[in-house]
Amino acid sequence: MGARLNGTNGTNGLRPPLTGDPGGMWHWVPVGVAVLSLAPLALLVGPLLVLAWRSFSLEQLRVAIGDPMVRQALRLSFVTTSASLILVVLFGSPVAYLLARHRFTGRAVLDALLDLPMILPPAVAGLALLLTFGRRGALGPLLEAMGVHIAFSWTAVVMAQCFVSAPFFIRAARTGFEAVDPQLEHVAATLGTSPAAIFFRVTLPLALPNILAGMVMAWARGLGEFGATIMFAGNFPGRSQTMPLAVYSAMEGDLGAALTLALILLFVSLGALLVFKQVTGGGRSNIHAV
Amino acid sequence: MQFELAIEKQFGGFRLQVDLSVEARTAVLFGPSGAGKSLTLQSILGIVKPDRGRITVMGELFFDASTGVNLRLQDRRLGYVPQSYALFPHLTAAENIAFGLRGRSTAEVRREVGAMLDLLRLHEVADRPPRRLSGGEQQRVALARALVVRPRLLLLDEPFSALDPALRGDLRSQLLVAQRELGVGVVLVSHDLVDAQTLADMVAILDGGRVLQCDRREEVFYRPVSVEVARFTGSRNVVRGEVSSAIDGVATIRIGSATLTARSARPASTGPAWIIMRAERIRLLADDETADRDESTARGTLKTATFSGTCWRLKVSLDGADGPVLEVDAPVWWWERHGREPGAACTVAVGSSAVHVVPSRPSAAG
Repeated sequence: MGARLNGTNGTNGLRPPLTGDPGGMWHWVPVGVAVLSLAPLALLVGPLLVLAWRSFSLEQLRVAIGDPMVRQALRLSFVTTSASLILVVLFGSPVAYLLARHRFTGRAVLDALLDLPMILPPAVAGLALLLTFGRRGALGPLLEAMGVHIAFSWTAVVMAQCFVSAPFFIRAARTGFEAVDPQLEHVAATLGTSPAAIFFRVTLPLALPNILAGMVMAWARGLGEFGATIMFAGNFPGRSQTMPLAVYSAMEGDLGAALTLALILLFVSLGALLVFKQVTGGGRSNIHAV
Repeated sequence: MQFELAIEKQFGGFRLQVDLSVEARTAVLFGPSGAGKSLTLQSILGIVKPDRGRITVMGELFFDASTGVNLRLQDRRLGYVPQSYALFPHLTAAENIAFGLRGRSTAEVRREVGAMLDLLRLHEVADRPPRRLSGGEQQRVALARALVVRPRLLLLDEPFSALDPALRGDLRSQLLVAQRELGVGVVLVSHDLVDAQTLADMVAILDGGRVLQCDRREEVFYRPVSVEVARFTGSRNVVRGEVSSAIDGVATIRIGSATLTARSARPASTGPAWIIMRAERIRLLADDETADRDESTARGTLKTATFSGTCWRLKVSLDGADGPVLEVDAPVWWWERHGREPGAACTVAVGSSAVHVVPSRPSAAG
């Protein structure tokens, strides 16, 4: 930010001096804009810097990593986000392909429904899941009879994560499939390539950057998932207490543990975003160079 | 190369109704954009499925709506070069060419791809991705990729339209070389008259989703079935006239005060008619020159003379009360010797086979 300010001033300094310039005050406009843009930036970055500064202590990190609650939360978050990512990719890819390549009745409705979890408050999503799969939910008795208990288990955590993260993946993967020129697939077919081989030799490699980006975003969304999880899966250490929930619980007792967990989450999220930018940035030149 | 199709397809407000029977080494589907040329090509390929009709290529039934036959793209074994070339952006030029050779031995793939790189002079760019190839190179890679699997027929959609004109001639001859080398029939879609003139044995003129004429190149260019075809094929002289007699394929025509003789395989009937003459098949007589026995002559006045680069384009106003203006292309060497100023009197001569008569009212042929 400081660099940009200097740059602006430098440009002004290079201009020939304007004596008696009636519009001299306009020279301050860029400075004003810069100051104004500092405000939101401070709001966005400030707390994160404070968080990093307050919690950065190797000693505390060592203690926190040793804490069974932290370890359990880390392990649970890793296992559940992995499981939900696999499920999202497995079931989301065909939906994304369908939306990208085929026109069918109800397509617009499906499209809108798939975006709903993105704007829906997570707590509402959790409530909806609970009302559907909870013990007294719509499918509760049926699941009960089959001996399946979903609510307040790690299955529920995975379901909540899938619910909120699937749209991110489907949206990105769909964009990836849409960007593949159907002519490429037609040409591949005239060369005797079977539909399955066309998908794996042409469509998938070209859509891959977007698919990977969607995976990163979906995984990061699942990792940060809080509202739906606490409504539907509860906050049981080792069973449904993922990292965001552990941060929340630790706040009541050990602030140090909460800060450490928060810092880990911050860096993981930042890492995910950087990977996302890298992957999509690298993919762009690939796709649009046709 | 031989194919037949009679298909119908409705696309929203556009109706494709194409009936073609082609036997040629190279056939050009020619017409303005929106004529249905590409849709016809995609129907042959199997990308577009017609609502009704039948498609037979080289004696094999590809599509028949009445019996439900519809061969997959993979089983039609046709080579396809789309307008955008559609090279696989994630593969190199050589990998693009080898795409259809999956399942062959490494040695065979190397030999076949190598032969194509030789034939189309692509060795230097073999390891480049498509984005680092020039337009002409991309086109040759797309051609090689289609040819390497030995298709029964090669289908090209506007292959030269994206290239700059200087390159087109070069690539046209490359295509001819490849075709002669491999003996494959070519169907080419184009809105460039030069493609039809230089590459085609057979030309189909399409407009508004219908075939206006499909015949040998000379027939289409020199004996168009309608005024529309004449205009599409670049006949610049389409003038009203009167057929005063028509006996044994020889018609006598009055244009203004001039009388011309037309000899045609198609019998003309007497009455008002359109008279079609290509500017490059008419000549001006030099002062000391007389017409050949086969030629008719007409007197007129030179209006303008414009240099086109390869000939002089003359406009000659024929004498008489309603004498039309004829366009005549004079060879450059001739104009350098016999050129004259606008306003000068001159005599136009035209052979009987260069005068073509189309009935004034649209007939069954149109």
